[in-house]
Amino acid sequence: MNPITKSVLLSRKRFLQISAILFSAYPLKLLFDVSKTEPGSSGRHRQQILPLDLPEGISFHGHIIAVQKKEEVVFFSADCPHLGCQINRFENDQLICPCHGSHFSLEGEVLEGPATKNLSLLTYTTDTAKRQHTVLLPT
Amino acid sequence: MPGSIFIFWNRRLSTFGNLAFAAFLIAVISGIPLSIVYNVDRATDSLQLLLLTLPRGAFFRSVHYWSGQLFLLFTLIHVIEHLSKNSERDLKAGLWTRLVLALLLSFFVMLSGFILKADVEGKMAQQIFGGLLKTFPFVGSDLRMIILGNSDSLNLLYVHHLISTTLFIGIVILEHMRRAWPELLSYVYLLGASTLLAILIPQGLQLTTSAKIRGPWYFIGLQEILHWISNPLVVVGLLLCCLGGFLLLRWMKPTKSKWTKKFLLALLLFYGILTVNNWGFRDANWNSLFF
Repeated sequence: MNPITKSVLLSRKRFLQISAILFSAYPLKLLFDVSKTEPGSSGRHRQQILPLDLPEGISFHGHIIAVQKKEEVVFFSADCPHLGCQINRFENDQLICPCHGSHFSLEGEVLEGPATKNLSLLTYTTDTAKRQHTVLLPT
Repeated sequence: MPGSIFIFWNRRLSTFGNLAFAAFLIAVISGIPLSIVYNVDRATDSLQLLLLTLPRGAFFRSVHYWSGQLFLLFTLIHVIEHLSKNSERDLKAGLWTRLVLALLLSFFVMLSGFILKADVEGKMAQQIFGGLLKTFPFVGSDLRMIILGNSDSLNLLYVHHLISTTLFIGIVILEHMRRAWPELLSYVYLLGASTLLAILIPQGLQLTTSAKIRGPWYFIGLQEILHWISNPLVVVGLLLCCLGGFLLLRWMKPTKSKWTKKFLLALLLFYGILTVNNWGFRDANWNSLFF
């Protein structure tokens, strides 16, 4: 075999290496497909029921922060817009993320980073007969 | 100076590589009974049940935890020891690449264990890890799906913790050590240390929310970095650069390799300072005494 042909053709070892890499891509795709059908993937809560009579001020309800001011109520997502930690602390009129220390005002605005976005305002419906709020959570 | 410490240690005790291997084996063995009682759909409930009703099970969980921590600790010391001797040049390119990947996966398998306890800290860690994975350009969502699945379920992470990553790390260790079992003395040392730590500092669950959530000790520095740098993509980029620099050490010229190692060591020391600052000097409002 002349040198030119030798440099163009793959050696058997190199061919096997490339084949192994190509074949390993298939289990990776399979893993990707399987993870899509993982059990529990459709069971995510899209809405949460909260009582009509919420305490005055701030209250935390899992993924929701309720701000009750006299007759008005506002709901924010408790998931920090930075990396999704659940905000669970309220001090000196500020909501504080326990994971990286972002501070937010009662209106959901960022006062101190690392978060750069405000808290998401959540939409809700009120059923006075059942005395409850139905709050819609983001997907 | 550090070299003489390593020589002193290796002469009197076992090598750090052997200790890390023994810790890995103990973590795997102690994980088997835990996997029997662990229910991925009701993770916290199953662990609470274990802690409350099965004292031996709770003990196994603590041994599993401590042997895992020691595995990571001794692995890191083993890496530092061999980088100080330039031994990475003696390894074949393929094996070096697999070892670097196994080191990365060691952090992942530790973090997945932290998440799988599914208490308040675990759930927050899952959110942050998922958020960081999603920031990877182009492949972020797919990466998150392959590693964490597309829901809040812990199912896929459990599979990775139990099988895929553990199997990979185990195979790479076998290939690297060229032996199937650690030295008996290392095994005895590590079994003793894990048992003692499990008795002295048993591991529970954090079920109530606290004012400040801390990640596992090896990621507290990262938590601090994420506090300072708003854009997680920048943090991910920096981490990938460090990993890339570490991987390329084997192929660098000696002078370049020496300076890169010094730079990586400086970064490690800085990471340590950040860890101490977060651990000891930050209050619940994230104010620090220093910076």
